[in-house]
Amino acid sequence: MSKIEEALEKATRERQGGGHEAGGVPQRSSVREAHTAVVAEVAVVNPDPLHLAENRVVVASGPSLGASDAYRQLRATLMLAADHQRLAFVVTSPLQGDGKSITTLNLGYAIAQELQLDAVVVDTDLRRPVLAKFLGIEGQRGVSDYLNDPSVTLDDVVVRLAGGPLWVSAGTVRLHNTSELLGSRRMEQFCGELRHRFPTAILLFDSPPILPAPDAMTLVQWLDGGIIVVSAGKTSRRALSDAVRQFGANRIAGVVVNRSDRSSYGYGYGYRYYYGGYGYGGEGAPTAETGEKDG
Amino acid sequence: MQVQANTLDLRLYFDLLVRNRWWVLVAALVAGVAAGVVAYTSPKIYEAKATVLVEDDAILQALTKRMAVTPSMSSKMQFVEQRLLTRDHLTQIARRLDLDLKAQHPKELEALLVKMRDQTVVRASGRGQLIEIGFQHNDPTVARDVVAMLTDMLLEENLGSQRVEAHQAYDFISQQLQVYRTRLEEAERKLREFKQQNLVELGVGVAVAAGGGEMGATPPTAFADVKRLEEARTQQAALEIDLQRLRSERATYTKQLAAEPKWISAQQDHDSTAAARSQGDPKIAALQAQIDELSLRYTDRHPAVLALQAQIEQLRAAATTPKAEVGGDGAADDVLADLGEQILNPHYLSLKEKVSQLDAEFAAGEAKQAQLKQSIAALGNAILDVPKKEQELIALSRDYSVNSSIYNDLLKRLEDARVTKEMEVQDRGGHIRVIEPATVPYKPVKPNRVLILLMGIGGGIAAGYAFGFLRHLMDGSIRSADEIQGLVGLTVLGRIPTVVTLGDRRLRQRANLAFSMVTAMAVALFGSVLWLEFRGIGLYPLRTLLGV
Repeated sequence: MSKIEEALEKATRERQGGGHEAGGVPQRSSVREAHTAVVAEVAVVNPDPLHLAENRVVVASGPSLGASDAYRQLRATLMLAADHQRLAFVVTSPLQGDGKSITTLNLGYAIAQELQLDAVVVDTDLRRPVLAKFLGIEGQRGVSDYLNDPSVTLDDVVVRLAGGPLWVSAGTVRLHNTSELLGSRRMEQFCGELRHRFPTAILLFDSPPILPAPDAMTLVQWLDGGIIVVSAGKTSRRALSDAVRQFGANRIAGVVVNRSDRSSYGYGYGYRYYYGGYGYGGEGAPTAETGEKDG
Repeated sequence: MQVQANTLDLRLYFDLLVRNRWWVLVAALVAGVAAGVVAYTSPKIYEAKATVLVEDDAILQALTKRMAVTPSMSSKMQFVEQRLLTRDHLTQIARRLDLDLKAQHPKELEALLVKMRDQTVVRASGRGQLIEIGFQHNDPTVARDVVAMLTDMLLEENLGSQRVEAHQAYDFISQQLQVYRTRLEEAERKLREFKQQNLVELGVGVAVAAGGGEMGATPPTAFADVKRLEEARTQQAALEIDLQRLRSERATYTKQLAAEPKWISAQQDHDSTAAARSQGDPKIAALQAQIDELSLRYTDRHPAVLALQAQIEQLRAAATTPKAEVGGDGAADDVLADLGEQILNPHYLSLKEKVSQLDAEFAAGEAKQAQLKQSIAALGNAILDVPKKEQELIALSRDYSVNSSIYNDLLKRLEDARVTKEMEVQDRGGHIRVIEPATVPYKPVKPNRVLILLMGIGGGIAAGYAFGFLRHLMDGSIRSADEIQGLVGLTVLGRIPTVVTLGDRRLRQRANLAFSMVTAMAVALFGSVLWLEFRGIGLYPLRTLLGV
């Protein structure tokens, strides 16, 4: 068992108040059973792998390309940086178009598929919700519906993606007064409920960029920290500095650099992190994967 | 590390080119088309040219021969240009060819002349001494006419100028000759005077030294003086010895004289004078013998001879006169005594005579010695003075020799110049000849379409690339994950490479195809235009096609 997984187990125990009871580490399967029962009612969707591939959700769809490996590395580093305490992150960027939604989805897939850890991806970019489109699951209800309609429950806005412990809340309704909504009690309630129902899950909230809208800063109050996504060769240094200053450096777990291969010279012509030799089959389901699956 | 850095630099430049390839292509297209428009709409300029030969070995060289200046090709061209492009010439040409019709005001005429000067080209043609005179104009016939007139003017101008030059050269050399003649005469005079003044000191050496005496060598005059000095010294030494001898001889004789009695008795002398007495009076005979002896050396007026003769007279008188009648003074007493008992000692007399002879010789020797001393001193001074004089003489001789050489040289050149002048007068000296007269040009020299097109295309490419490079420099975006830590102090959690989807690939392919097609079209367009230009066809086929 890797150190990361040990740490995660420890965190799970602490959250459950179990402490260090005799008999050692509780079995993952028993934990899984507990929260799976809680969310048993949610719908299951099966995104089209081709659609995912075209939308760059490479971890879920394609063979083990360099990008997939890079997302897996990102996941590992994030786990270390999260220090087993911070499990809910808002994923944002200084400006629009740096690739935060794709990063969020791929990271979610990487967590769920690799570690068999629960991962929940929530589209909180209420001004421009895109996750549903990327996944090809338009028509689902999302956070907008939950915030606007008190009768809507968590189960109504969360779906499980087939093939792994990955849940997604991805609506398509666009709103304008998003900042108020994201700072509302209802949103706090939403986050609390998610934490409650997915106690061991990594929660990833895709949010609008920092500089044009205050949404990310509003949202982070209910969460444990932020992940900033930048695009090399596109995001300006100044935008990043401003965004970090605005967001608060102490609330940021780290930075993800997209298109890192074009960082210096422009277009990338290859996958620098591509190792080859292992990968996924079709259907977005984990097939031949390493021993991590068994933890 | 250096190699790696260079590779990175090259890669950066290449990536910049790839990234900005559209900018480069569009800029090249726009600039190329613009250059084409300029190239094909600019008026055609024709250049007519004539080739002339400017000979080196004609007047110019004759005049400058052995002088420090040799006319170079550029100076010749300058010469031609200055002669040719005078205001007068250009005005004449403009009038004759009606180029000045549009020039109404003096200002316009001035501008026209400046323009004509600019349009005229004087340049070296190939090897040797050929010079090309060209004139550019949009009318080829005008260009030809201008060049033809220019060459004519150059030839006329040259003939005239050659004559003037030849005369000027002759006059100049004559003038110089006069100057040098005066100098030569002066030098000659100085030399002569010097020689006259120092004839004694320099002796025969003067002639030799004047004939090219060299410094450092002892002149013959000095040798002669030294020799004379040596001789004088030898003479002096010999004289000294003579004097010494005379002194000792005189001492000996004086001693003998002192010992010898002045008078001796007749008896004493009897034996020795018996023969004389037998022939008459022996005393008279003895005295006569002494006179004879003395007369061998002295004249009859010598005091000794006179004294002896007086004695003989007295004796003869005494023989005929009684003793008592004879004399009354001292001398008569002596004679009487002699005649009586004693006679003058002949030996004494001879010694006395020898002593006085030696005295005379000694006096003469001393006088000679004094003269020799004086002479030696004078010669010594003269020898010391000789080098100075010699030096002076050499300087004067050199002046003379230099002036003489220049004078001779000038004389020769005056003769050359005279011949040249004669030749010019007979029109045989011409040093400018037209090798190739001007013809009507059929091919324009401007605009150089190929060059303009290439420059346009090249400039466009460079501008496009420069624009891309500038964008790269001005780009403040994050270029590397490594700089984030330094920038905001945050950990880089991951570096995600570009994800290229199938759609992206298709898009890229389409973009590449489009780029290739546009590039191919541009290459085809510019390539065919350039090819037609190279072949000298131009846009003639297109014009025919369009009926323009």
